Amino acid sequence: MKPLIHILLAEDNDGDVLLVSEALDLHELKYELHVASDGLQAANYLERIDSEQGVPCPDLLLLDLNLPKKDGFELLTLFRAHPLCSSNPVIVISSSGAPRDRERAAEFSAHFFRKPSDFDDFMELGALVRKTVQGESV
Amino acid sequence: MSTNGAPASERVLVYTPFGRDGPLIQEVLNKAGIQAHACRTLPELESSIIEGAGAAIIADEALRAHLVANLAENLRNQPSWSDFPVLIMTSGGEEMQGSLRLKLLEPLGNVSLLERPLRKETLISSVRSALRARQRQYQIRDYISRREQDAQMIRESEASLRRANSELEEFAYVASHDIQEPLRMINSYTQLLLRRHVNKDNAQAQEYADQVRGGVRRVERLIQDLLSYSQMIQVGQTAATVADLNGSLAEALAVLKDRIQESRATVRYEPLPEVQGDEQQLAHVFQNLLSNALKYCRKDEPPIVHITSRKRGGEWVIEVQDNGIGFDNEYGEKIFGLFKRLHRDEYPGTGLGLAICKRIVERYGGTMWADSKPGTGSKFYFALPAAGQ
Repeated sequence: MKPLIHILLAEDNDGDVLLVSEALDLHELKYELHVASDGLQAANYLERIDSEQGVPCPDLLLLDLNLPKKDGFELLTLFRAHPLCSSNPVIVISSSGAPRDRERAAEFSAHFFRKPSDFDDFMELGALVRKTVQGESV
Repeated sequence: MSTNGAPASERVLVYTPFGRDGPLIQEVLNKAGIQAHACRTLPELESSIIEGAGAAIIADEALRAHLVANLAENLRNQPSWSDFPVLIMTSGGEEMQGSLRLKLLEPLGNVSLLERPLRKETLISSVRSALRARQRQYQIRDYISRREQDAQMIRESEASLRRANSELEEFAYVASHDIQEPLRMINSYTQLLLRRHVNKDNAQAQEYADQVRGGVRRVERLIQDLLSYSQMIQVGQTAATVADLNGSLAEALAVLKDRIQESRATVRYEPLPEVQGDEQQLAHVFQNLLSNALKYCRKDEPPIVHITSRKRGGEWVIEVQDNGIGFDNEYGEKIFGLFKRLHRDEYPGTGLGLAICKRIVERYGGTMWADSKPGTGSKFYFALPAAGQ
């Protein structure tokens, strides 16, 4: 029996939320997705971890950079300073492949996935998630 | 006391502590049309100089050593353009030896001596001459202040240019991100729709989806081109190095290798010179010109491109000649404009390629132009300063 992985997805675009779940399903991951649709909601989630029912520490953070209210790197800073989940893996998902974003993500030891415009290419995110949570080198 | 409306900076200050000399001199000067003001005390004289004056007449009996020192201290603080004229009325040398008096007055700087008894004409002409010299100083002052204003304006416009540049950069980044986002949705969801809700054997639906994908690709290319164009127009970052055009061309040929093969094109070139510029960006220029030559070729014969160079004064002129469809020279300028396309339907493109090339060449102090006739092929030229010029 595969262990259930908790994924915190910080993403404001519903279309991408659906594509992410498609990708996870396609790669037969057993997961529970906790969606925060802006930076503030994601920050609130991190604050409430373990103090409330149904707010488990995420095994993986899937982070869009361009979020309303609190941007991706602010969240990444909070996540990396969190007493419970600071060392858990992070995959930054962004529609811009700007070098400065890639470099900053690397500084936070986060993987980088540029959202492709091709459906099949997007589904590769599932493979990256699988490798990341299984601790394989990516 | 002011006799007319002339500004304080043109008045003559008169300081004669004893006797009636002061009011008399003031009257003589006023009658000659010169604005004069008699000061009763040394502090009044000093504060009046600070307020502004054209010259001062001082009786030498007022000039005790400590008074000279006070006045000299004030005059030392003059701005660089100012050399305040001081006229000293001497009492004829009976009180002090000539050389001793000169030494005493030296700290005052621009000093002239007027021997008493004084004739009116001598007084008036000396004062006029001092005021004329003072006018020149004011002109220099105004010139300096204009220069400073100009320099300030240049500094301000440089700063606003830098601001505009970084805003443009930010804008381009945001625009590309925000346009790419919905494009992705269009593309991904068309594919998802097709897979989940359309039978696999529905060829027409497949074709529609391909049209959607083609449209999205075109907009994506357009965004990329706009981004590189906006990077080209950033100013102030043109560190021209020596660019080996052979390297630039080789890179362009490598990128276009498949397309050259597919179109059975021949590209001939001779050894190219070194110029001032950036090898990478000039590769982009070659790539664009070659790509155009492949694209706008004649249907009946494969493209032949010939690249040559010649020295013209301190610069190298590079010529890229093809045997394609050519264009009317009437459009020779226009094709370098933004979104200017001569063949909108038959040939795909964003209309930015040549505009980007021209920007690159101009960045390094070069020029770019074209020459063609319909049906006889085109010649594209760019000239760049020779390396080491």
